[in-house]
Amino acid sequence: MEHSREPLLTIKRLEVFFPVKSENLFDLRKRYVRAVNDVNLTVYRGETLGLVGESGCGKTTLGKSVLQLIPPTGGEVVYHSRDGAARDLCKLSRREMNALRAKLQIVFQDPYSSLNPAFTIYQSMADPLAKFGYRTREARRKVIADILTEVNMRPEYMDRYPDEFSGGQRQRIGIARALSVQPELVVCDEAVSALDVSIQAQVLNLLKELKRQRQLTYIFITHDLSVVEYVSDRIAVMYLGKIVELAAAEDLYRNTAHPYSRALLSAIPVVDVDRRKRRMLLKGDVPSPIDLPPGCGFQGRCPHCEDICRIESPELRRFETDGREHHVACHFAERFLGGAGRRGNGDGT
Amino acid sequence: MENGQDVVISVKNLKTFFYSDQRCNRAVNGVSLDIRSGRTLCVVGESGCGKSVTAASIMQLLPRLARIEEGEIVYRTGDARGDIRIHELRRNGRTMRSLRAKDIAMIFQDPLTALNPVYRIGGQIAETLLAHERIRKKEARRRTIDLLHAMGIPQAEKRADQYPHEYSGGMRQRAMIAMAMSCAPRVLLADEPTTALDVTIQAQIFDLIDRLRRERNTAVMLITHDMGVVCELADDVAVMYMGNIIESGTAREVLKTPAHPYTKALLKSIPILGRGAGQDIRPIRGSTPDPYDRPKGCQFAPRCDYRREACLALDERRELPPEERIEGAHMARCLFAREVIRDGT
Amino acid sequence: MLFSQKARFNRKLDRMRDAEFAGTAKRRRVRNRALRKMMNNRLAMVGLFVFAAIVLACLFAPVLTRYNPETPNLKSTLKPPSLEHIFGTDKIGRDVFSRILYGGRISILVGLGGALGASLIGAAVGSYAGYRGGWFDRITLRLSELFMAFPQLVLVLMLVTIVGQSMRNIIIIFVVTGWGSVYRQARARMLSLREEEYVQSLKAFGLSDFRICYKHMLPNAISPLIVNTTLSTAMFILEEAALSYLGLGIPLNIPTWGNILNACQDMYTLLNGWWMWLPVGIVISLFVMSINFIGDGLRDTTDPSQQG
Repeated sequence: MEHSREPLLTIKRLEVFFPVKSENLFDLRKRYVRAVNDVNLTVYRGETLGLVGESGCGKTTLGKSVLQLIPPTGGEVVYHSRDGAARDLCKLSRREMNALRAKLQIVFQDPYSSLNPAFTIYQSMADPLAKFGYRTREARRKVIADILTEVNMRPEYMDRYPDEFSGGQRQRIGIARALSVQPELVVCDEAVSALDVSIQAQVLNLLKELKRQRQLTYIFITHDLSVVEYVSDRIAVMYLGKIVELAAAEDLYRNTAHPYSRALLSAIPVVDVDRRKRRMLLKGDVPSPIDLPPGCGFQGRCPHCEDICRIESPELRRFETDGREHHVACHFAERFLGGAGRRGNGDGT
Repeated sequence: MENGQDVVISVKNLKTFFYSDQRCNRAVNGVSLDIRSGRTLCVVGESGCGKSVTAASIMQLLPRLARIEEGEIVYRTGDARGDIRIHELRRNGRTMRSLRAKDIAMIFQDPLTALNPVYRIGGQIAETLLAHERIRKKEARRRTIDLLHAMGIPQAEKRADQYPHEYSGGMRQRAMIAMAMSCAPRVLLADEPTTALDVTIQAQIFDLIDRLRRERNTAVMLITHDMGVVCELADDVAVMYMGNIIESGTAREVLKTPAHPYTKALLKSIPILGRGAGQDIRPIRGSTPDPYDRPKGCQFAPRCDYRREACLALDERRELPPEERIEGAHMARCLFAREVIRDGT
Repeated sequence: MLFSQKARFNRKLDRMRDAEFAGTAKRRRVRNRALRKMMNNRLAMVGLFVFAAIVLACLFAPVLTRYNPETPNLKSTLKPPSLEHIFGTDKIGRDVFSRILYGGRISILVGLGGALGASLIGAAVGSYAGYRGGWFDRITLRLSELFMAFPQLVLVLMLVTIVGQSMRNIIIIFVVTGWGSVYRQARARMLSLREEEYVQSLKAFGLSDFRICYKHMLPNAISPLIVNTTLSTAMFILEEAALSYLGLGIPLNIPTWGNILNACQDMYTLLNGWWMWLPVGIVISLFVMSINFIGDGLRDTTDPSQQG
């Protein structure tokens, strides 16, 4: 899938650290949960950037901190608007940021808590619209009617309450709400994870269609690798607050480089009775992002771990495969990227 | 003489209804299945299809406003107790309680809420042991530590004295499996045990369950909505929709040659790893009907591509399509099952 | 469950099932499920009836009695109940029935006013504190603890000495001592609501905190507060009665339920003038009990295990 090379967001050295209370009075060290730990990323206008990882890797925190819903503790998030201006969102005042919020929207995961149960759909969507320029009731009702039709729902639904809708319908309403203010970027935070499998397909196809019609840019956060492959142009794999691999979707699946990405892919059950995979089972659990040892975050579980991995944290380095960028954060990336001709099956085998 | 594939639990025409708001919800509306020793039966379906209620019915763990209306659940003990008719037992009577954990064990989706946060893990497991076997506390503790170790929990001695919040999600699930397997039950019911866990941990847990099944010849009933898991683990499959099993058979039969339009449509609507962004995934038309406002005949008809005149006739008679036997154990509730198979995927 | 209870329960379920199958499961007469749950609770319905009866009686006092509650009539003092005076007369010839009715107005007003005032302030402050957190929350939390920790009687004594006795002041005192518990309830509810995704979505639109807190979130937190208000009303009525009985409440010349009791504090009246204190006592008890039953019924409406 082609996308422009025009950056929409430039994220540099982004950090989101949460202070942790020490367990006893005598422990005076300041400890932090390093939820997002030195992330560098560019989001290009018109692309869908997938952000994958398991729980605790920081992907949701990254998505929300880009929108300043969780204030970052360091780094910058530069937003390049259509008129050419480039602003660091982290440095904006609350009022300045609020003015930009129409352009940067988010769709949430849980369809059962993303709509106010005490309000009709119209009431839930009216205030944001009023804030962004739709001053009269008629204007707002028209916009809502239009956007509901676009997500394949009937306009009269706007006067109903959320509990009259199914999970899939509620999710579509959430999407309609985000799109009602004409954003440029939409962060989809596990937007289909809480839905039934057959409804996921509906919503995914809808998201793709809307993106095409409105020239949107998506950051698609999920833990489901099959889903992210279907929607994304590029995919970033996160582990313990860092990006460990970033590549075009095809390259990630066929030319997986980082050992964690490979383990992740191999852990996914395949929908094919004939193929019982040889699994790369990781030992142990995901470590806590609080007291991280020096060196690579994957050291305890990596089958290829060597001395240098325990000392030095690998940088996200840029490689090229078939003219496309492939970033890997591993000391032995060259070994795994393989030469020409080594193509995987796309599922870790 | 028992061979590895005996039927341990036989469910026939089970109907479990939920009552609320002056309405009656037919959550399970005529389900028949067999759980066999040493084999994994996967019950697949989307939310609201009744798969969890089926398991809860077998364990008689239903809420107050629900009851088993019809049908039978028979547990073949294989020993002096003979066949126990579970549906006739009192919910919290002595017989039913003695069956739980000792003969039939269940593990749940969210290990955090399934374990008591104010008691130590070791204590909770030992409690189950002490309730069912005549052993002393010391013996119970020894066996607890062995169990935790067998389930892959490192430093079992130390871990046994910890509380659930000190365990990670994967470890809690292992602890729950340890508790479930502590009295060596013949049947394990697993209700979406890994939905709340990460993919890499999920792989470990399924590996564990499979290993236990092989080592102890346990009969496993695994409830899931993930078709990938079904492909990897299932020996037998039952697909549920709106309270009925609409297709069942061995995993190979059902997944390679689906005979019901719903199974087929479901398989076509999920993105498959490795097939890229260009794959054609087709959502199923429409949405799951309101259980209080069901279609009159075949429950899937409004969304079905194979809907014909004959289906309308069923509507009028208010009957479900009959079970159509195809080959061996392969069954589908569809008038056009053979045609569905012929059309392929 | 007892065997007979269980049999009845099963028969009820059978009826529901058969109605469902016959297609006659009725469109419920009362559409609102919460209302139906409440109507299922017989005590709550009785309470509602008694409450309404007493309130209406007090409201329509001029219609129900022709006597002025404050005018003494020294020609007919200490008369037991008769056709002329339903509850007899008191020491200075005032009709007890009319005193109960007119006194009820004040008592109920004080109780309700205090409860409403405490709830309004408690809810307003508690909601914002729970939603926003930070220094506002910390300060108001400590303040509420301060007010709640003070022994109430001591506080009342102090305040009565400083500001004097009047209906307005009593209501103020009740509000001051009562807002703390409503504050905590509202705050606790807001703490859990603020993690809901619709709240985060409103923040993502840049809406102001006040708007999010009071317009969008508060409607979801309000029902436990309403239950609390009804129960507080009952509590304040009792407190007013106690304070007036002690002479610390409403000035003695104005009839209130407590003041009526106040005048009965001697052995002679207790033994020989039962009509002066027994009817009032019963009315107070009935009123407070009925409010408690209503409060229970309201709580039932949010209970999912109740068959609605």
